[in-house]
Amino acid sequence: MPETTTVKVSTKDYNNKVKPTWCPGCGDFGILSALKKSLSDMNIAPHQVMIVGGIGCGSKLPDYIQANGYMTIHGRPLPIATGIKLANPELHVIVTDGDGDGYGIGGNHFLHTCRRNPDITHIVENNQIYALTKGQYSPTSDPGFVTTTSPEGSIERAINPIALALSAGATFIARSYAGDPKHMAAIISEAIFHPGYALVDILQPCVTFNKVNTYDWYAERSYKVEDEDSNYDPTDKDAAWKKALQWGERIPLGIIYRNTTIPTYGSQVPGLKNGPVATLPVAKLPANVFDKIKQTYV
Amino acid sequence: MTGYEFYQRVQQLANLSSAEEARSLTDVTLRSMKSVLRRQALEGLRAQLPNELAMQLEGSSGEGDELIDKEVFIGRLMNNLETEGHWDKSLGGLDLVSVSTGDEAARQTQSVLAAIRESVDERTSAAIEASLPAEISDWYRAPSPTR
Repeated sequence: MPETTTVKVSTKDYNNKVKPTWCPGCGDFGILSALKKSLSDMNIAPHQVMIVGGIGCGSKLPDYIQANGYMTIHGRPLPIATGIKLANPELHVIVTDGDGDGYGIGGNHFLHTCRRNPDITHIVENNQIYALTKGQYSPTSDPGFVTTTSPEGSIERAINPIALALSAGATFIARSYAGDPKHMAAIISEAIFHPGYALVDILQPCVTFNKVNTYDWYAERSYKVEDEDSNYDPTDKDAAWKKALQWGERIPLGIIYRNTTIPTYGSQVPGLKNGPVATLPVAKLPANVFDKIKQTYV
Repeated sequence: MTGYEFYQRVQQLANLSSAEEARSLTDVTLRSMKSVLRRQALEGLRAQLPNELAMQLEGSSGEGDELIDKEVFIGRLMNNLETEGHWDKSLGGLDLVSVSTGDEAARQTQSVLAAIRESVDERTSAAIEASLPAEISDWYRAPSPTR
């Protein structure tokens, strides 16, 4: 894991002056608080973090936190985040996007990132709707969900991101709920600490466009796996499959699956055996390569 | 005071059109309070509210959650309020009124908090105030709202 700092970090160090444009009551506020708490608890300083967003309400999170941030185009934060991590492994790289960005248009990148296992954390603010574009059904909307693009109810089955991640080889899979920031902060810390790709699917009520999957809806149905079974072992893949397939009336929260035995993508890339790009002395570059970079950027 | 009388008081403070609306508002606010109240406040409030209201506080650990801010607190109420206006005739999609609905959520939440403050003893009131998120605590201390 990249280093932390020796200076004590507080959540205030992550505050900036930008006022979020999220709707009042949006679940993203809880996610932002939890992320700040997690980073400060782990004593990670703002300059040691890179937050990569896509497009969507939740993807605006990099604007609202005092840390390095990068906003990509719709569905593309995962490959960008992978590249950032390969170039500078000392950064804690965290992707924040939504279900539309991450599981819809970004679905292909999601599958391959799971199996590549780069050392990044992926927080999906899953509100089961496309909210920024004013209320269309998304890949995680349940069948029958009425929206502007499904006026007679969605006829599509929802994807199951937990099961999808498990089958694609993700090495850390967890779920939390935006109404419980304390739980979210603990899960996010575990995800950041995990050596490899860590998916945190966060059930996040959209107060404006989703009047079905509300705070109460999630609270009534979700339960913490460790509360129900103190012996639940997230390294047991068979047990993880059972939890992954649960949805609807019973929604498990917590660390569903964890495997620390798979090497990270960055530790295996042959081109990086002399060290990451960020630490390569410029003088060691071949002259023609250095000249080309100069011509492109200077 | 009975549960119905409490709802009527909330209806009056929030200037709502029915006690049923007041019941929905009160129940939702109590469920939000359940997540933040620490043990002393929780037990005091449970003991002094009418039973059907106290039920909304069941299942809480009494540990509170200092990460819950004003936005998460009003989220449940926002789920129940009108957030969409009419069809947007310029760009398509729906006109949003969620920004101004946030102000309405604040006003309605203050009404419930005022009714609670009137119903509990000073010790419980102080414990409630200390448990609430910062801005919600300001609402709790504020005079009863008027339209």
